[in-house]
Amino acid sequence: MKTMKKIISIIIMATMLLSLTACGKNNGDDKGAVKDAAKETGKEETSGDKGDVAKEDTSKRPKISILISGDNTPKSDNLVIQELEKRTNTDLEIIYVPSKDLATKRSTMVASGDLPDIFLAGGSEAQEYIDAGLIADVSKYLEKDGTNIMSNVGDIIYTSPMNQDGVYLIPTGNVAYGTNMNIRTDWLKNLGLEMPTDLDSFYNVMHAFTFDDPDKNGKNDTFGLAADSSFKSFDPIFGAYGIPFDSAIELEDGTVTTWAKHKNFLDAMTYIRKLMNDGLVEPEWATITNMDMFGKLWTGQAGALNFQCAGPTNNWMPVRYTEDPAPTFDFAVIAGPDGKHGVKPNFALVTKGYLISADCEDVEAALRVADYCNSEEGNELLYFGVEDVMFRWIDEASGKYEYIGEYTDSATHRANGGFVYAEFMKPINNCELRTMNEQSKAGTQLAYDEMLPAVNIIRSLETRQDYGADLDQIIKEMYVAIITADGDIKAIYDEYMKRWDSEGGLEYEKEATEAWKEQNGQ
Amino acid sequence: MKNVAITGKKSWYNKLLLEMKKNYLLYLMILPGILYIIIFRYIPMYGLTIAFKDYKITSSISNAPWIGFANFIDLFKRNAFQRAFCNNIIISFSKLIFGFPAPIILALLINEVKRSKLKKLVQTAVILPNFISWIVIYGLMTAIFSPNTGIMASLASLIGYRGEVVNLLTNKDTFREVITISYIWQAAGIGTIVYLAAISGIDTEQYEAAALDGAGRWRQMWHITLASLKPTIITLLIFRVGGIMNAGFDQIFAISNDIVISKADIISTYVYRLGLEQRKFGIATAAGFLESMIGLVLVLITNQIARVIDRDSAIM
Repeated sequence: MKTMKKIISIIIMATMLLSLTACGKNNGDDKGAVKDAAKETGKEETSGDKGDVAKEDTSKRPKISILISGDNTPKSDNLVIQELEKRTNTDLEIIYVPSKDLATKRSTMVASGDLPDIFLAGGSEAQEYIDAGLIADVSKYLEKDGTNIMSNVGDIIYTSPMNQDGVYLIPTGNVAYGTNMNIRTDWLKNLGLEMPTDLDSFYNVMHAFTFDDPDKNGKNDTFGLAADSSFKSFDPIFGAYGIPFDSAIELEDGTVTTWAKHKNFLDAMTYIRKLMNDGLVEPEWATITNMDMFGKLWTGQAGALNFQCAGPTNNWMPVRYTEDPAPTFDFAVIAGPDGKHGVKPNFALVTKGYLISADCEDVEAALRVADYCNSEEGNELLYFGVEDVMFRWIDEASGKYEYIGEYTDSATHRANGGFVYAEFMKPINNCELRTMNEQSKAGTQLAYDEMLPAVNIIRSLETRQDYGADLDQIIKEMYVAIITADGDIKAIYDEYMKRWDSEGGLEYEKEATEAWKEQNGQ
Repeated sequence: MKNVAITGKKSWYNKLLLEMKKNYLLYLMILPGILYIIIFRYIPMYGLTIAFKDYKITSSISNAPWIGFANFIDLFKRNAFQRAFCNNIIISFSKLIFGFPAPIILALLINEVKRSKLKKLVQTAVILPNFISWIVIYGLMTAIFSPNTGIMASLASLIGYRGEVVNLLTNKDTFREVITISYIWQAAGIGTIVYLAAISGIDTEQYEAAALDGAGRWRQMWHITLASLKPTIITLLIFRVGGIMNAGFDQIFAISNDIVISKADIISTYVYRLGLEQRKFGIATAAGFLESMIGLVLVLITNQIARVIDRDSAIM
């Protein structure tokens, strides 16, 4: 009995010790082992030619980890990644995180010394990693393994202040889309209204969309504008007052400051409050998620959405829409009191881009993957998926294609890796642009043409690094406080801007103004 | 004198060795627990030195230069921290004042239910919310309070109300109440288990004797049940006060939004933003360190008070 007690005690103790050690770090080999086991059991083989991939000896392929952000939910091991592994002869580990968690994930990985092999970063953060020797210099590989990268961003890659003694940062190069105020033209037609051209007519249309039964179903189940708590929802409204939201602006006295200090800011906010208070905007704007906000457009509840038209009139058309026939859209240019109109500008950034970790076991292979994704063929794989499995060309020259089989369902397509990684190393002449329908092409061009002038300081500012996040938070809080306020909005505005000034804003203004003058050779 | 000290020390050492030898199996069994505490609780405390260093994420902690209290000074200069600190105190005390008695009251009420099946059903029902994550709870709250599709809005519409339905999740005037009530709803049930276990240990003869003496249910509950629960209540209160600065990161991170952030931002959510989003690890650690020190001081004070009230209830 005593011996039995001893044995049981020792077994319990050993189990507890084992569970302690099991809490330790799971290394890459383990992950590989799990992946291999999954391959052996055939769990990851769903269709297509993946069987061939599984048969190959993949153990010798270099392992490359990539941190990518997005707001979809692809399977961890999907058709697109398997195909990309095959084409680049690598074993990829994609760490896919929600867009809003990208910075947090990156910081956590850096702090734990577990930097992904390829990741996106910019500004002072990227510079800090480069200075600390965490980033690989890829200059010697560029000629051989970076031909696509050089053809895309070769003209700006050496202008980046981070690439003075080597090439550490591969700039994204692309100028991000501007936004469009997408308005349902079928609803306009039902109501006998014209496309709005100024703030008054925009208000009238939103009012009619909310109260005049634009879908003619006899129910009070629609509203005007799908919106969330981001400034982007009202981009052209700010634009109508000459304000490029979220950008630095130059005041008349030459001071570079936040967009919230624009002289027309409160006028723009008064107009937005009117839309909100009159119930013409998504009632749950403060808490709604991005996808749920889109859902209001997809299901015919909202009649307008400010977003790059690549979504509403191209990528979502017609599969995402639940109505039959699918809605039709056009883009409103809304003029303000002074006849001004426009949207937030975007710039080709030379201080933000992709970095390859110095700890990467095979920098050449990592660059090969990045370069392949930067090619038209690679971007096509990331955007459409595997050819003849997930999509097929109808007329490649004119950019006509169709999704096939179960991948006609957008959710299935994205779960299997289609579209969700398309932003990674996106080339300038990417397939989204090449295959866009004519209306979306025109809309995209319109948004570029509408971009307002703003201050674009190339070098990273110390004050932005120190106070930037707190200052941005103050502006964000001020924005929602004004929208939801019952009382004097000027007093609220003054209170927040006083905080902005005292919490580093004035220091930022000083540094930004000097940097802007220096950049302009003054 | 020196010999006496050495002999005393030696004898204490020998006694311990003898004790360990005698009960070595028990000591072996406690070893993993001690190792766990050392590895996962004490060794990481080395990271607290970051609060006094100019630490960069790209360098090692030991190489970072010492900067004294500069991080703390920087922290206190930030209005956002001052606001988070105030919110933390208000929300924590509100949870303590309204949340701490809730499981006691619930346990007393459940104890009064005499039908055993009904008692078990009530017990299970109140414990269940504890196993629901805050993300799911937020989903439930949205389903209830959404002004567009929520149950409240539908009910209001059913009874013919055409006015605006207040969205409690975006109303900063009432958001702290939402935090406290949802916390009580989620956590009170699990707390009742401890009290019900303590109640089950009370000698039933005391109730019989009290009944013979003419004590009613209320008197019995006050003078027997609650009096017997006193040591348990004090011990749990000390633990609760120790964690008072922990105002509930999971909950607030999941349910807050831009409108209510000025009333809901607490130290841990601020530290999260400062550390992981802005990579200011030094200042974030200083905030965390301060939070822990306040918790420690409060525990010591509560323990002293407990010692005065009931010497046996104090934990140190």
